[in-house]
Amino acid sequence: MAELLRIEGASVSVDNAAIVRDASLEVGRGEIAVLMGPNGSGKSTLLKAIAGLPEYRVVSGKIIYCGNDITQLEPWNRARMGIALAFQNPPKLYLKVGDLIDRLSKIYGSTDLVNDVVKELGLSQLINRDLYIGFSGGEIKRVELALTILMKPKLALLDEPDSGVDVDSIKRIAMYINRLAEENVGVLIVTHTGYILRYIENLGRGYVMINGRIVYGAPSYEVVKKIMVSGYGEFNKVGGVN
Amino acid sequence: MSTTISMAELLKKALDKASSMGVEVTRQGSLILNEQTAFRLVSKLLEELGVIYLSIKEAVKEYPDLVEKYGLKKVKIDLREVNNGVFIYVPKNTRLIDPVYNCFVLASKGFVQKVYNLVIVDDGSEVVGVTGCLSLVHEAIHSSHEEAYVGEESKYYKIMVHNWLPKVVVSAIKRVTLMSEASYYDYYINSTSLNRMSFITDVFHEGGRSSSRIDQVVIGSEKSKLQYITTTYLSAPGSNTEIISRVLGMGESYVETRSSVVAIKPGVRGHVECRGLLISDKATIAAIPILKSGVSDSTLTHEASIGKIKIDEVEYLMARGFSEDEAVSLIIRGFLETGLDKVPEKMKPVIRATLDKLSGAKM
Ligand SMILES: Nc1ncnc2c1ncn2[C@@H]1O[C@H](COP(=O)(O)OP(=O)(O)O)[C@@H](O)[C@H]1O
Ligand SMILES: [Mg+2]
Repeated sequence: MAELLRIEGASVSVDNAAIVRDASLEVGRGEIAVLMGPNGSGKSTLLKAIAGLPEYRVVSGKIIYCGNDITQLEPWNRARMGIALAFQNPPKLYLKVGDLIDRLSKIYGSTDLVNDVVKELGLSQLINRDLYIGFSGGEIKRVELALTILMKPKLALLDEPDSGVDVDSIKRIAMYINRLAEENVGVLIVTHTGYILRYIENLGRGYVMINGRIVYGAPSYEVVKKIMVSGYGEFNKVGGVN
Repeated sequence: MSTTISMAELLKKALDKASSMGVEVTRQGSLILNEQTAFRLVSKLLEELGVIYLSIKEAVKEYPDLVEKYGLKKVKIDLREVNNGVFIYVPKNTRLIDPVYNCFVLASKGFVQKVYNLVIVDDGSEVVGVTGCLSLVHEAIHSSHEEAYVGEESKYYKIMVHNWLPKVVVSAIKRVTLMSEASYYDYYINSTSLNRMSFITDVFHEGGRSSSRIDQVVIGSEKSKLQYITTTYLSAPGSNTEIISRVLGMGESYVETRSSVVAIKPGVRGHVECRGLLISDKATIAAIPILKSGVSDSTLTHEASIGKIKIDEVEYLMARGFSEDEAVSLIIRGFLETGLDKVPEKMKPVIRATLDKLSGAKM
C-alpha cells in the first residue's frame, strides 16, 4: 500500500501542556486505518495536529504527507493539499450550511458532488440553517462528513463519525467511508466505541492511544477484538510500545 | 381584486429621461430627492397608477386631506420647519413589486436637514420602501421623522441603508402603526462611521394579528456613538413581533441597542435578540433587551450576548481551507447576516454587496 501519511514520534502541546507524546502511525492510500482509545487520551488532539491547527503545536517529531514534511505548514495549505478533518465537536457558527457548501465546492471543484451528498446524507432540511446551531449529534456528524467529502480529500480524518448517530445514518456514513477508500482516499477513523467499524469493508491498521501515547499497533480487526473482549484496561498495563 | 404594478419599467423610463436631462442618478437607480426633475418624472408615472409619490411639501398642498387624516399622528413636529421628505400613498389593493426609492443626501456643509416622511399603505396593499441616506460632506446634521400607516392586511417593507461620514450627526425617529393583520418588516444597516446617531423606532400594533419584524445590522467604527432605541407595542390581541440586532464593535465605538417589547393585550408574542461581536478591545457594546408585560397570556422571550471571535471558530474554517483573514471575514459576514431571507428579492443583491464589503474590510 502506497504511503500517504506518516507520523514520526510526534508530541503535541496545547497551551504548553503536553497532550500527545511521541506518537507514530501510518496511513496508506486507500487504507481505512483506525485510532481507538478512551475519552481524553489525546485522539482528537492528534487529528487536529495533523490538520495543522495553530493551537495544537507539534513540539517534536514530524508529520510526513505525500512524502513531504508538512509539520510547519499552515492549516489552509494542508486542507488544499487534500487533508480534511471532520471534527468531533465543531464550533457553532452564524454561517449557512448551504453557503459553506457552495464555497467549499467551488474551492475544491466538487460542485458536481453536491446534490448527491446532500441527498444521500439527508441534508436538505439543514441547508438554510446556521452551521450546527441547534443541531442534533447525528446531524452534526452528517454535515461534517459531507463537508469533508466536498473537499475531495486524499486523506480524510474522521473524528468519532459514529457518536450520537442513529443506526441508519451510521450505515450511510460507513458507505461513504467505504467509497472514499475505493477511490484511493486514505481514511483515519477515530472512534472510542468502535461501533461504526462493523460496517467498514476493508479495515487497515489499527492503533490504540492511552494517555497521549500510542500503546498498540496491529491490524484493526485484532485491535477491535482485543478491546471488545477486555476493554482498554489491558492496554493501561502495557504502558506504551513507543 | 389586487393590481400588481411593476415599477421597474416605469423607473427605467424615468431614469433614462432623467439622465438624458443631465440629472444625476446614483448606482442602484436610487433617486436623489433634491433633483426635483427626476423625482417629478417618477411621481407622474406612478400617479397614473393611483400611487401618490411626492415631496412632503407638495403633498401638504395637493393632498391636505390625506396628510390631515394620516399624518402627524404619532410624530409631533411643525411642518413649516421641514425642509425635505417624501409622501407615499399606496391605494387599496395595490401591490408595488418594485421598491420605491428615496434617497437623502447631505450635500452642503453645516446643513441641517430636517426630514418628514409620510408613508400610507392602504388596506390590502404592499410596498417596499427603500431609504438610502448618505452624506457628501463631512459636517452636517440630519434629523428625520418617518411616520407610516399600514392598513388592514397590508405589508410594508422598509429597507434603510445608512451611509454617513465621520462628523455627521443624525437623529432619526420612525413610528409605524399597524392595523389588523398588517405586517411590517424593517431591515436596517449602518455601514459607515459617523459622529453620533440616535435612532428611535416605535411600532404600534393597533390591529389584531398584526406582525412586525425588525432586523438591525449596526457597525460601530472609529469613534461613532450610536444608540438604537426600538420598541414594539403589542396593543392588539394575537399580534407578534421580533426585534433582532447584530452589532459589530470596532475602533473606539460605542453602540447601544435597547430593544423593548411591550405586551398590552392578551395572546401576543414577542422576541428580542441583541447580539454583539467585539472586534476591538476599545469598542463598547451595550445589548439591552427589555420585556414588559401586564398580561398573563403573553409569550415574551429574549436572548442577548456579547463576545469576540473565538479561536476554535477561526481554526475550524482554516481546517476547511480558508486563510485566517478569510475565516475572520466569513465569521463576521455570517454574524451580520440576519434577516436577509426576509428582504425582498430585488434588494438582496444590494444588501449582500454591502455585507460583503463590510466583512472584508473588518478593521
Ligand atoms: N484546546 C484544549 N485546551 C486545553 N486542553 C485540551 C484542549 N484540547 C484537548 N485538551 C486536553 O487534552 C486531553 C486529550 O483530549 P482529546 O484529544 O480531546 O482526547 P480524546 O479525543 O481522545 O477524547 C484532555 O485532557 C483534554 O482536556
Ligand atoms: Mg475526541
